[in-house]
Amino acid sequence: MKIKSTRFGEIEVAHNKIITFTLGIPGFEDLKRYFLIDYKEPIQWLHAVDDPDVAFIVTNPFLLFPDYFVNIRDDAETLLDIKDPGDMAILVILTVAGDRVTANLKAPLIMNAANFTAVQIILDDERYVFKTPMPSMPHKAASV
Amino acid sequence: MLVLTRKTGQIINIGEDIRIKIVDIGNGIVKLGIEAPRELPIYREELYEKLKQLNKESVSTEIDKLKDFFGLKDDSK
Repeated sequence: MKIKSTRFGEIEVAHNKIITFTLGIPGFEDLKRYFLIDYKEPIQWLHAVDDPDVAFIVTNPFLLFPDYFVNIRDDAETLLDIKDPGDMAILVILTVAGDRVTANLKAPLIMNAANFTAVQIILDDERYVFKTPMPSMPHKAASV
Repeated sequence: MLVLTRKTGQIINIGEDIRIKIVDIGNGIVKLGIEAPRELPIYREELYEKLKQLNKESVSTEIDKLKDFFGLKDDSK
């Protein structure tokens, strides 16, 4: 299917690559369908299917925060129908405000790669905040 | 707004599917146990509002700022 994007123009996306956020994403409750665009390691775009303006910059949190721990409650697992924990993928949204880059470790995106459903959960974990300053990047990523 | 008085251990039902139990009360804090259908997300309001706001900010994030941060070259598409 063809998808319109203000950032990328028209993009062709296979139906089986569409990720369904059954509850939407907080702030964008009406937008349920998204897809991932590989950008540059370790960054991807999470782009809405049904709104050309809406796209989030996401990354694998474990590269930048090796000690990051996500305790997924049963309700999220049930919601996504996760049968094998190995199917679970975790991404976090990055935000730039001025010169400050932060990662939202408090509210990760949990995805079930087996059925392409996802949800943004809020962790009940005092260690994590919505705007977590990014550590300095490992050299590896800079040379990619 | 409907205001009900409940004691510890008592339950409020909302429709058929939602049960809210008063688990504990004390020191200005009430602990609630909530049973609800899984398609109904349950959030603490102040956190949910913060998350909505942040997600809206995140959508307007410009990739150029991140390119600098990640040391990506300008020729990247």
